[in-house]
Amino acid sequence: MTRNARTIPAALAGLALAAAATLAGAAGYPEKTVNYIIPFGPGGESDISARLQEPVFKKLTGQGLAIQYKPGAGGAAGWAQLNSITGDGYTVMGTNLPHIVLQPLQKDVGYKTDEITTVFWFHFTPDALLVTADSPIKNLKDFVEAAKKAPGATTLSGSGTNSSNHLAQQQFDKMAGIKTTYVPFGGTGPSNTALLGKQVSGSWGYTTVQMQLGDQVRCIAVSMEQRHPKLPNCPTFKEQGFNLVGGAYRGVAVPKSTPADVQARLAEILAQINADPEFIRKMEDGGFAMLNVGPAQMAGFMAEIKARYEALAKEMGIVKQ
Amino acid sequence: MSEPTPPRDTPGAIGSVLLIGAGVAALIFSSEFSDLGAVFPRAIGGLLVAMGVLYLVFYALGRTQRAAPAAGSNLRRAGVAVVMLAWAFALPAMGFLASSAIAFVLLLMLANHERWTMRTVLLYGATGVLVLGGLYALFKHALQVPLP
Amino acid sequence: MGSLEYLLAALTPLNLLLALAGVVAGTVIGALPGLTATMAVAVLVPFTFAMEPAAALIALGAIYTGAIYGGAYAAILLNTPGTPSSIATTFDGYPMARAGRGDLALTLACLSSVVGGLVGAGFLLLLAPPMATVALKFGPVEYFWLAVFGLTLIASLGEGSTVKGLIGGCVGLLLSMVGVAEVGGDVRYVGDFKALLGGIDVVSALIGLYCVPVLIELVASPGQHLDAAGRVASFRLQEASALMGRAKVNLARSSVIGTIVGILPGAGGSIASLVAYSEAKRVSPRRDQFGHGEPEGVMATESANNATVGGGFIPTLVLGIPGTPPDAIILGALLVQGIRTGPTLFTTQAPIVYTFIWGLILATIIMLPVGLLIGRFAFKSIVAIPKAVLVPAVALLTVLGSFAVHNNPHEVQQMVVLGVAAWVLGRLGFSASPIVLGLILGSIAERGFVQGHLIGGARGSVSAEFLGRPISLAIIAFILLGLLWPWWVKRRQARQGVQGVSTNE
Repeated sequence: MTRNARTIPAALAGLALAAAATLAGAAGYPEKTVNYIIPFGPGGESDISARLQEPVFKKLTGQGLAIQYKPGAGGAAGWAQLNSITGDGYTVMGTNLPHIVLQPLQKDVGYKTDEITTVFWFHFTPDALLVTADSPIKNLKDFVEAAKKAPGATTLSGSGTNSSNHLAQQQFDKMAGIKTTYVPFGGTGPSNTALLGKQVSGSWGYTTVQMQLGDQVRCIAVSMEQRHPKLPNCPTFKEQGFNLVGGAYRGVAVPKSTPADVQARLAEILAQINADPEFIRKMEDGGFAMLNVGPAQMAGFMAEIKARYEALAKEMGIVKQ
Repeated sequence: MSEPTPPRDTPGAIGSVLLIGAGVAALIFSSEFSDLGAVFPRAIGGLLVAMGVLYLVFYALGRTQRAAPAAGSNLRRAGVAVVMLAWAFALPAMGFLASSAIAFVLLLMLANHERWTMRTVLLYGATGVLVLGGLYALFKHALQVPLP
Repeated sequence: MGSLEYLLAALTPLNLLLALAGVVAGTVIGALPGLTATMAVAVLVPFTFAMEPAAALIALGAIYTGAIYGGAYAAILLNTPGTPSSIATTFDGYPMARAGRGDLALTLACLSSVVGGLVGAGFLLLLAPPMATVALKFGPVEYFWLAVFGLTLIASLGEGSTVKGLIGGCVGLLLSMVGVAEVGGDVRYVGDFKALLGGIDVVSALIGLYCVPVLIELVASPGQHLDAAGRVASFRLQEASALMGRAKVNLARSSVIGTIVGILPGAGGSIASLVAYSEAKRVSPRRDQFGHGEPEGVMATESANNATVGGGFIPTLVLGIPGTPPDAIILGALLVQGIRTGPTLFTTQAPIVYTFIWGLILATIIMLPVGLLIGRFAFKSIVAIPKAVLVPAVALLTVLGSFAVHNNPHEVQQMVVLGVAAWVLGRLGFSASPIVLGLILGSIAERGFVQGHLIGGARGSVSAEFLGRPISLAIIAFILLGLLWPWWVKRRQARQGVQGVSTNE
């Protein structure tokens, strides 16, 4: 089907006008404080990154971000209630991957993945394979060799079952052709204790853990495209031959009923926050890795990630009957 | 045997039967769990049933003692239980102030054994308003707790 | 040591004011049944974000320690623990109040809390990094055996039939398994109630299990629940000090137990006070008096639970792992302030940490006069409040308290349902304490068991893992000691009794 050469510019102009109109319509947003609900307790990565966003949000819009906590069932308590909140853009909620994909697959948690309208994914904490600083394992090669010599004998702590850590362990085991034993702990804290106390041989953690524990641990691989700016000595899985990229992703979602123009404006603000150099510096100092997935890339991103997680879930046998 | 023995612990035996039932239910449901996830439920469920049966054996052998029955109004006691249950489940639906106000008044009536004079009605009512209002303001506004 | 400069830093007017305000607020909150130390910290943390790190820590620490102490008021005067850490204080505190010795109990609680708090803070000040390495040596298997040890306390608590106690313990253990299993991810015992996916919240359960049955019972009969005993309540300081002096060993031991339990991640004041109580009862010549108004019981529990404050900060600050439930929340506050926890905290950010520790010590000392004063006021007012108003007011507090920890109405429902169930079970002769022990220790035990099983399996031998580690063996020895000791003592007494009878004829 050929297109008339004139309709393209016309269409583009029309699109631009429409975009301007919708943005103008939402130009007043936000006119008051926005409630930012974190479906976890205070102090976690979701909380910390939200708190780093808050001052930049205020700077850009003049309105505050009021952070509230609604923990429960690993986040499901909050996400199950998301769509029953008024969709005026003044209540937003933090979302997390792999949680919102894996949880509904495993059991009836009160929401479905597609019901969660995430407007922007703004960072992820990359998975990192860690050993103690005095461990005989110096790099990934040593690790794989040791694991091959004694299948199942390498114990690795991680935070939770069917979490990002667990998925990383499963994926890497498959890629490297080894068998390790994943020992789930109740959170990053206990997982770190087990590592430091040498109860386990190593740990599937995050870059944030490496920043927290500093010299006590050695990061032997990190699941990013390129090395983390603040961890120059930790090679990526990719450069060592394993295509493992990912981690725990965090974003901001709104109730389904929120108008499209408000959603677009919110996404725009979040993108601007993500471009703020001071914000980037603080996030990277904490070990977070920046990410910019806005409305334009959302569908593709979600489709790809859902497919990836669903395939893993099937292999791991965690899909509900 | 001429010594009067203390009465046997029938309430305890009833409780044991109920809890044996709970243990059995726990065991039945645990069949759906994965291997690692079922270890504890099965062990504890089994232990519960075993202990319950043991108590029933003691009961049959007359080696149990019944605690003195509690005096006082059972109706009022049940009333408190019902009011509190209704309150907790009405909380999300009716909102905090409405459900708490009603519950407060009901509990006040259940707890008061004295006669209701004008004075006590006013006094208790005023106290109630103060306490409820004060705590509501404190939590919702000062402490920023999102009450329903 | 350079600590003097930090002491001076802690003595600034602002910090002292925060310490004072924190202790007062904490004590009042802790005293109100239904409002727990965890809730107090949770609700007040957002307000500290605007403060300097050291000041924020001092404020939170003061609130925390005040609340742990304040819980004793409701425990002694109302037979409901104001906060989970004072569960064991009800055992002897309330009987003392009924016998007209409530004011003495309150004073003892205050003095013991101060002693325990200072011991815990002292460990924190002097020994934090080495003690944290102790925490590291405890692996999943050690936690499993510790939980088992805690559960054997059910047998020694001895309220009524041991078998019934064990049944209660099993009920508590089953309750702890509701929800998503931490290891394995199974969804257990949830049925169609999505509200239960997160499991049973311990704080709500504790409020329900202890406060609701008391409320139900309060309405049953007319009359005041506590006689004012005619004379004016006094501090009874002399009597209290004499008792404290006599109980030096008890106090020391209980404080150390409290500190150590506080160091162990996850275990807090409630477990510490129960362990201390059980030990005090075990070695005391007056052990039959425990549970009927024995002052040493109150001293043991109150010193132990305040020692967990200082002890709990050790792993929190040195390892970034919360030692007690309020520490988990405080840790969040620290992370938001940008404080990197870890051994380097004590070197790179020494000013903040040491100023805070001295501030905590000061807050604990301030608790002495403040606590005694508030205690006297509380005694007079609680005794005077007509039951008709007390019941709805306390009920309101329990609803608020169980809601405010996680802003979750489902937890209010859990609280009430468990509370009514506990009352029914109480009428059938099953007391609440074993259920509570099972609930708290169940997840620790199961976690430790399954993780130990995984690690042992990986290392080649599960039984070697569970029975081969030195610390585990020590704990197992304690377990056996605890179980066999009462039996052995009874046998010895019986034999001596026989001899006594024959010689006294």
